[in-house]
Amino acid sequence: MELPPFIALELGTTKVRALAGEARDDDHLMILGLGECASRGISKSEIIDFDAALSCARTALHLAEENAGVSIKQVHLLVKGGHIRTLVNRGSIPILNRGGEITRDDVEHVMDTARAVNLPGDQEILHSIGQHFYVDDQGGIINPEGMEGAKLAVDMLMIHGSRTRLRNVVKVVHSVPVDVQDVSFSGLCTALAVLGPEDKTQGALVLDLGGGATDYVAYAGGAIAAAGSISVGGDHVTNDLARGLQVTLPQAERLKEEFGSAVVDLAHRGDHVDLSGEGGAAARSRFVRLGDLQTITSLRQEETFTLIREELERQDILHHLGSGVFLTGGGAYLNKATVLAERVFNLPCQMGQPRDVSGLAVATDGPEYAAPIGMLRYAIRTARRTQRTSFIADWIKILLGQR
Amino acid sequence: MKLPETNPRLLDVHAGTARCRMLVMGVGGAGSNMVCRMAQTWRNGPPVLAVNTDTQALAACEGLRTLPIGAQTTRGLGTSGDTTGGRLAAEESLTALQEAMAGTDLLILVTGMGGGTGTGATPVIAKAARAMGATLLVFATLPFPFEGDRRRRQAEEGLRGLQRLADAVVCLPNERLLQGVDSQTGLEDAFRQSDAILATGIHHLWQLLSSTGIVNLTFADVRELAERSGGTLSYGFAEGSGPARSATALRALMESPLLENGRLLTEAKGILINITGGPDLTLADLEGIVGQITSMAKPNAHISMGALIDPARREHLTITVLTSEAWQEDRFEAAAKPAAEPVEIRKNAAPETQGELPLPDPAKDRGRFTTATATLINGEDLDIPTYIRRGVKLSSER
Repeated sequence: MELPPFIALELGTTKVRALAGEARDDDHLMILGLGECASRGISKSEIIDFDAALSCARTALHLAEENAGVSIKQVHLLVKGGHIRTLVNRGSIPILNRGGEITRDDVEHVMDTARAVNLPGDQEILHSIGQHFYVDDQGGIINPEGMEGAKLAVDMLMIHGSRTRLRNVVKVVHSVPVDVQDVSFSGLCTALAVLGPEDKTQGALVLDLGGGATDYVAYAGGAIAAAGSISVGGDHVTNDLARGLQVTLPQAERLKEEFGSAVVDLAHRGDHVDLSGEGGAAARSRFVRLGDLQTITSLRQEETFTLIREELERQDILHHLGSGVFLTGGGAYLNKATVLAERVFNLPCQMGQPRDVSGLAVATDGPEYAAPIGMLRYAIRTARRTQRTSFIADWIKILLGQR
Repeated sequence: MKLPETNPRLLDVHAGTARCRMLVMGVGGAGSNMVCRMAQTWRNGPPVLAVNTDTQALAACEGLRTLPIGAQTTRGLGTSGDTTGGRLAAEESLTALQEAMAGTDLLILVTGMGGGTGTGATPVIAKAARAMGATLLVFATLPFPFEGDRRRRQAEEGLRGLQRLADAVVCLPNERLLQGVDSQTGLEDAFRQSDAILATGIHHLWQLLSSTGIVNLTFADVRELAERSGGTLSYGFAEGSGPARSATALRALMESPLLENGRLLTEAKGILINITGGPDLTLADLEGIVGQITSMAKPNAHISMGALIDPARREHLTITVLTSEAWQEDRFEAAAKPAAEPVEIRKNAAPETQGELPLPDPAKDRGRFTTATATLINGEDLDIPTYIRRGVKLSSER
């Protein structure tokens, strides 16, 4: 059965984006069209002005409809922000059937058990993802079906976020009005877009450097080992520059794009950037020292990377990331971001390129569309899965990152 | 977190019993050497322990308690400058380290940043010490510029990590420690002199905390300064002798390169002064020194002082100070405060024409995030630019 085109909608801090795509053979994705609009009413990935955000969403969806030649009734929504947290919960059941053989029902049952976790009432679960199974005391099992044992356990990674903040984003989309078919954590989608199966097995860290938040997802041994979000992004870099160099925010944004760097260029730190001919508060001096500019940007970027590194160190994941670090999102365009990431994480680092995707070149070539592309892939996989009869086996495979 | 306050007078019944259990631990080659030389200059002093991966270097610390770490990781041969080796070694010997630190109230870590063991093992020890409830003061020296780029980078990275782990880090660039030393002095002597500066300060701190001074300073004072410093302390040291000793010492303190020629003293928000003199120490001496420092410091600076008599030091006077550029409110208090108010300040802010350095103003620092919910991680407001929180001075602000 042919699948209809899907729409991924992202209410980002910098841009509101709607991406239309449809499934091709295998796992290939074709991007049909794109609608994009500069964000208003969104700060640090959260809605602060409902009406402004709503009009942005309308504009982006309208543009996408025109661009892709489709009519949009429902979307897949990406969410992100510092309120999104993770938690690993282990569920375990005894195996009571004949001979202790583990059946599909047992697998289903143990996953349900692990999902039943008590979160505070203001939290909503976005995803529950199986990491590894344990049969008796043997760990690291991908699929326990057909194995024998007395006890079956599974570690579930629960990604959850603040209910009200999630609902507010959904409410914006409902007011457009279009339906929200599914909601997914943006970092997870990014990983889905840029990582291949071998990266997932060897272990990899995907960072999505957004305007208002930095998401991270780490795969180790074929399963998602950690995920999360820090409410610090490109807007902070710009804000730091505006404060430090005493220029306006638009000027700071322009300076960041043109001269900002994640690593201070020691050879040219004494150089001056000419600001004359521009307005703004920089009345006292018309020059900005390149060293100052890059000190500000590099300190901020280094801090953000370091916070994530420390989190991964706490969970002891850093040594399991053989494929290294993948940078995506608009922030990845900051000069030498990969150099800094290599230094901070002490791992190889590259720009994350969406895989197996064709169509609109603007959307498929850059690192900033990785999240919506991943969302489309997620949507297609979910839809295909529901078409099939062998529902659960595939579900597990997808959850475990096998496909 | 806070330990119950014990009444020091009650414990003083046992004369000579330490009220505050203090341990001085030297980590790595530089740290062990320093504590080793320190212990030699002290007739009696706090317990000292040298920790290193290099057993040969440890053997050179005669008459000192030593603890070799990482017997399997480094096979007692040192780390050859590799911080990972230092970290693994400390992790391997964590139990032994924990035993050595058990029951310590105030742990003073002396270490040289830049080397493998000092940079790699110190954070592990710091983490363990904090987990055991000890207040942790780190005295860290930074390498000389001629020791090369790799060491400097490792040192800076290590230092930043430590600042998050320790209650406070006192950072001592080697070249500043040795600025007072004659350039023709032999290397061994030069290091001995610079170590003596540190040794005196630590010894006086111990004396103050373990015996009753004429003007008393308690462990709580030290702990408060360390906890509120935001992670960085500076250390100053000066001596004077003869009839005008207090004036000489005071002048030396103001000109001390360790305090950036007195700048750190005038800008400090928290100061801990320790004055040690002979039996001839007068009230006028104390008044003069504390009065002078108070008048130089910021008007609302938190100053606490202690004074001690050392019978052997007639006609001598030593001032040691610990200063903090920050005086943080209790982390929980700060986090609980609403961030709404600053909007007002912003509206009424004077135009940018006044030719003064901008005062720290949270509303202005937060910029476009003034109205947003603060992103607080590890007690830091991440909406405030990193360079401001790190205290990095831009060339335009100098």
